[in-house]
Amino acid sequence: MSELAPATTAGPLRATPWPVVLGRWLLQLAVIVGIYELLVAWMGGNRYLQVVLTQAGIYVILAVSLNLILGYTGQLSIGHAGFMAVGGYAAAILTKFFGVPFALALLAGAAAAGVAGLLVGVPSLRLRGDYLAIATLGFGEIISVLLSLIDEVPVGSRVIDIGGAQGLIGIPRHTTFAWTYVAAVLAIKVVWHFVHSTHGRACIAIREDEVAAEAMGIPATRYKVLSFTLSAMLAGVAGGLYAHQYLYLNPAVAGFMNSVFILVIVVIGGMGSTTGAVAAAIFFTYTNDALPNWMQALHLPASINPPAVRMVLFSLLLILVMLLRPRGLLGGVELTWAQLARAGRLLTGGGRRPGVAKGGAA
Amino acid sequence: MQTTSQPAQHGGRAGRPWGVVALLALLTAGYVAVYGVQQLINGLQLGAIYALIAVGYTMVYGVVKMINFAHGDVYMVGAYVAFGVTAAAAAGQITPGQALLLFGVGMVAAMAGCALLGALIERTAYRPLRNQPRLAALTTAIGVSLLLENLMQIIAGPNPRPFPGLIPLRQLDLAGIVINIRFGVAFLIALVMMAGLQYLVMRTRVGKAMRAVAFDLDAARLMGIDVNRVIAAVFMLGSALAAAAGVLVGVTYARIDPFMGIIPGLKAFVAAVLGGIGNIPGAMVGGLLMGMAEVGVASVRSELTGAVAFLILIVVLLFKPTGLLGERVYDKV
Amino acid sequence: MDLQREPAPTGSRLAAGSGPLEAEALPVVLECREVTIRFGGLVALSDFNLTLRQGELVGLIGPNGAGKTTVFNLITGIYRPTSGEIRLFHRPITGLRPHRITQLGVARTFQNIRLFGNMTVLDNVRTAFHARTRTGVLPAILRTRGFHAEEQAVTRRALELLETLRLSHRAEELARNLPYGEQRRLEIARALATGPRILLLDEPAAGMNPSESRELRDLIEEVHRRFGLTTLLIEHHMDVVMSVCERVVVLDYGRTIAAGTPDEIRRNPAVIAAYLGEEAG
Repeated sequence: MSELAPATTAGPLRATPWPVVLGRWLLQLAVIVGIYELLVAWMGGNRYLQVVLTQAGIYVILAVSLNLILGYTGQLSIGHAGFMAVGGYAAAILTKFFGVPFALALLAGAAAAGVAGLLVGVPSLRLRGDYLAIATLGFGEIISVLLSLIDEVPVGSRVIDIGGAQGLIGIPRHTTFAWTYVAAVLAIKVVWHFVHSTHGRACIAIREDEVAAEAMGIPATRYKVLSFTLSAMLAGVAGGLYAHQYLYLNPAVAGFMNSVFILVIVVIGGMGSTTGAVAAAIFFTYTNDALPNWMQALHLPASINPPAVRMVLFSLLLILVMLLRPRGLLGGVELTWAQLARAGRLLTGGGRRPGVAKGGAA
Repeated sequence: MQTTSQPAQHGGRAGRPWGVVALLALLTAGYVAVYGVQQLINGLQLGAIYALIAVGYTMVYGVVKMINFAHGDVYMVGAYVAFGVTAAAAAGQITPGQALLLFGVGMVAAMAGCALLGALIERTAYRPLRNQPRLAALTTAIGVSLLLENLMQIIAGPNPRPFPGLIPLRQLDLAGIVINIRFGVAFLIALVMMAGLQYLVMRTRVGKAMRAVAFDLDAARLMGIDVNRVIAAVFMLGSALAAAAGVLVGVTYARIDPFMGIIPGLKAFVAAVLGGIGNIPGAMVGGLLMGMAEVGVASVRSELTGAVAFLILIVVLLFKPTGLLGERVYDKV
Repeated sequence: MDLQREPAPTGSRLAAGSGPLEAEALPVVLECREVTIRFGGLVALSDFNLTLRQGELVGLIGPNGAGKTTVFNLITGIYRPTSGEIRLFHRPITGLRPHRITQLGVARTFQNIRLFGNMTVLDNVRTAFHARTRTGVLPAILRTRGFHAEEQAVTRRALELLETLRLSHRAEELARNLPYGEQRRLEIARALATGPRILLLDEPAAGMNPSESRELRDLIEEVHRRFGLTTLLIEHHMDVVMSVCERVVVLDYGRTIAAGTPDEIRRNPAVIAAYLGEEAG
């Protein structure tokens, strides 16, 4: 049986002794801080690298949050960029026009995106499959159109200009790599903790078989909406970070292309795999920006513009991955302590075969 | 087919078509009252184009239960094929007779070329995923769509190209109603094609096979129908009609660009859903209605037409997901 | 408080059976009154009546398509009756969502196994405990002590259930990789995890050979007894039904054609006629 160990939401089967728990916690903390230091060192003073890594962090949050509703709960929500835009605009308006502190603005953006998630989710989640996909796509576009139509909004005694189709400019620079890194780590943690709990099991059950899930006492609609809203809130945080990194937001952020980009990351990375989502997000944002440079190195004729070539390669990759591994490259596979332990045992040559709990019959 | 997540509600109503016909008559009357007959004619002309594209979406959904995101781009490719075939020849001075001939050639080339393209896409990108989770097919369709758009952008350049004026630019005045000859011809051609399609689907063996596969794929296979062939035929047919729409649009609006398929594709999809996805007459009716809606909205504020299309879509999905002519199907638990 | 009806002359509506006299003293847990359901023009179930009393083990049999699973789907809220009423512990449940009805104490298995295939066996069972958990989303995300305690309790009880159903050795396997017989047992384990008072088993012995179905029969009895359940059993394996059920209701084309003890049913000419052309087990 060469199958990779199944993704399980099992916590320890026997109560883990507290020193081990503490030890693991400290180890996690050390790893998180360690990676941060490594990345900072790698960036050095390189502005470009810093921008790319920050962008990667933002898309990690987007991928991980989309994976929650798409990969774990199995709902075809493909208008995710709409929530990103709502969160971004909300946060940006607060910092630019009202001087709200960054952290608070991010939270407000999350809340706004959450509300949008509720408004979209409650009516849409009654739909199934392709219909849900189209409806969420439609909502994303509607958000985009609404944003392009609104320019001046009277607030109290003032009138604030959010730019309409021209976009919102002059957003204060607040986003740093540190902010993004912390937010990404938190987003991963939140999603991971949610998924590896009874609530996460409820969502996965809904994905597997909604009728059976209901029969087991799980209120399917409630959980779909919950998962949708939580996912939208995280996207809102990502939007806020995005706005204060690029200092400019326009309605296209809510549109189809951005949604598709996030969707592709999640689908290729592997549905229902947070590990896959993170890895794919990093890979795609990195190559997205690095590709024009590689192409320059190849000395292609000037008439072929990089965006088109990038998209052609992108779409070919997409089709290929779907044909070869429809569930995504890391679909259903996760990096967990249990798996690391198993890998450790394998490497040291002893212990049980992977995938069998108590040495029982195969 | 099942559009909501609740299995089995009961109630199928007999005699429903008459209710829908009455509704449509009422809508049309109201429309004329608000916008006038001229706008109605304009709306119908535009709607016929949407109907041609919508029919492709609905047929494909009917047989393989997937939304072919790349369909709008096949429409675009059709326009470009006709462009490629006729542009050079039409560059010089040609007689109206020659222009019409070129038009015919362009049309045939586009339809044949896209039929092949549709079959190719189905064979390589969709068929392997027929038994996979819906998301995989959806994502692949998005991939094909992006591929077509960007390949065309590389091949033909991102800028719009002028499509040769193969049909004379003239206007007819019938009792106060102005009919643009180009639009009028396009409308008639579209009508003829849809009539032809309806005949094919309802009166021929191939059509019967298509309907059987749409109704129950496994049963059709068990009855000895070559399901793969039928599905390929459906794709080819839908693609050919979309290509025709592309050529007609090229001729009437006189310009094409690699991304011209996105918005009309979406609007045509909404038309298919509005009419009841999987239902061919429904797609035709939906297309005409979408055309009317768009003309009506455009007379108020033209940037809103896209948003209005999405709004219609969401309203339909939320209140009557089976569309105007669609039927409820029950889910066995 | 007897809600049975007198048998009608042509056998179109029959009482849902009367067991031994002592049974009438037991409280009624489930009632179906004149339940009818129509799908378009098809009447799947017509004027169905059933009274289940505490602790009974009742069989529901009939040829394929007779409407047996439809009864289950109606009781569990997946379908809504066109007319008639269903009461659970005397409370009308018509129109309640399925998850609500499960929370009220009705659990079921599915004729075509509907496990959560990509989850482990253990997780399938732990998921079914969900309705009995109290930890909210925020405590789960924050990983409070309460959360951990509840998770461990759920895991422990899930393992116990697996032990009872003899599936412990499969705890970490993906449900879809299990052999057929064990999948059926997992369906039962999962249903039991919801903490039901009434258990609806839909053809649990389907596809089993005689020795397997004997084991299953013993399992059904054991589970029925140990968990103090009221059980309604759909089965085609007559040996299982006749040996384990106190009384049996027979459906054909959506109508009840007979009801009574296994012996009475076995000899009933209408039942034999309905099954003509089918293996009577």
